[in-house]
Amino acid sequence: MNKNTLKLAKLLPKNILSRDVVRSILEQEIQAMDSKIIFLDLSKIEFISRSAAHELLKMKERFEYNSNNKKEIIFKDLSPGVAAMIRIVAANKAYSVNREAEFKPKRVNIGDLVKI
Amino acid sequence: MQKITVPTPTKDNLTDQFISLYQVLLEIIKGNDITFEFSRSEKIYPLITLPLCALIRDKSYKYLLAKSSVLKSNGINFPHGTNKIKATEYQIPIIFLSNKPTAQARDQLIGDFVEKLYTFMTPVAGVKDAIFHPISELIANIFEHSHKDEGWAFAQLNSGKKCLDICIVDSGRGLRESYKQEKNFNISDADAIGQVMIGNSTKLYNERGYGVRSSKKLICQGLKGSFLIFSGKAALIAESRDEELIELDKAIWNGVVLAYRIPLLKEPINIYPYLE
Repeated sequence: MNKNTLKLAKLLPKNILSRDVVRSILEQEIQAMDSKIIFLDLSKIEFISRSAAHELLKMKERFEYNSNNKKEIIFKDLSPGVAAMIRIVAANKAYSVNREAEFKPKRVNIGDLVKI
Repeated sequence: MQKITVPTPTKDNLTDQFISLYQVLLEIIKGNDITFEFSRSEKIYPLITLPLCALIRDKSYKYLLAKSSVLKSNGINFPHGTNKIKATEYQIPIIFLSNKPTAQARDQLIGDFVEKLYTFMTPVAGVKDAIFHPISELIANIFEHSHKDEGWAFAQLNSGKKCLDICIVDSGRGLRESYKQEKNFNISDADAIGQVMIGNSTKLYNERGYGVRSSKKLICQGLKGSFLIFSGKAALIAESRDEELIELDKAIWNGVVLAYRIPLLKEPINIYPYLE
């Protein structure tokens, strides 16, 4: 393995679900690498949750804007699903839509549903 | 000792399951030294069973099971749940989620739970993602918001084995208290559910707060299922584009109960247009 490539499937479960896993394992591993350009190889990662993708992008930013230990993170070999999730979250980080108007439920009291 | 018979829902839908749960919670308010009697339950509804498991653990309530109860099956691990999924076991178990020993182990357990549910679906493109997205987001909220480092998940085949009923429960601080503590909002339980549904995160980042909302959208619109969220004295039940926000007079849930029903998926699905 190249010294500037980190194969996620060797480090994390094939389904990356929580922010904690990105923060506690991946970030430390990258921190310890000497290279200034790190390739994150996501081949064999089958699913990434929205939260974990958000944390991954935040981590990428932290490294790229860290003046003491600046590193460029480049994702590679993503499955279509993993790529789609990262693109959706990245787009939303850049510009989130106003969502307020869309929630207009019918308000009812439990007594309307059942006589207890 | 007060015996509370766990009622079987009149109809086989989330609303009637919720009413059965509400009736049990009302009885709890009235009584003490409580024993749940599961003897009349012929089917297992996670929305009813799982919150009671949480109460049995948290409040040390007692329980009685009929001799022939499916809940007695070793594979279900009623009432305390398991942190290990056996691939050879047909039954879907109650899983007990915790940060211990590690978040990585928890992710592995959730992954194994999803793989178990996937065995009941047709293995076509996108189906596993469709199971993973709501479960991962809704469970993540327990560990990011509830201030209680434990929760439960459970699922069963129902409605003539054509649907999967899934429930996720925590007994943490609940939605209203989260908004009060994190954002200084003084709002009702119903309005707290409303804040979740418009994606107003209790965290400072504007780019967060999409998990529950996108899960509901995927379940109701993408998978043609139904969805429920219950916290404090309010619950939202959503089916397709119809949504009812129900305000309760008495019974409360300290924490958050999430439940949804999805049909067994047979066709390829692309979940990503439903996410934001």
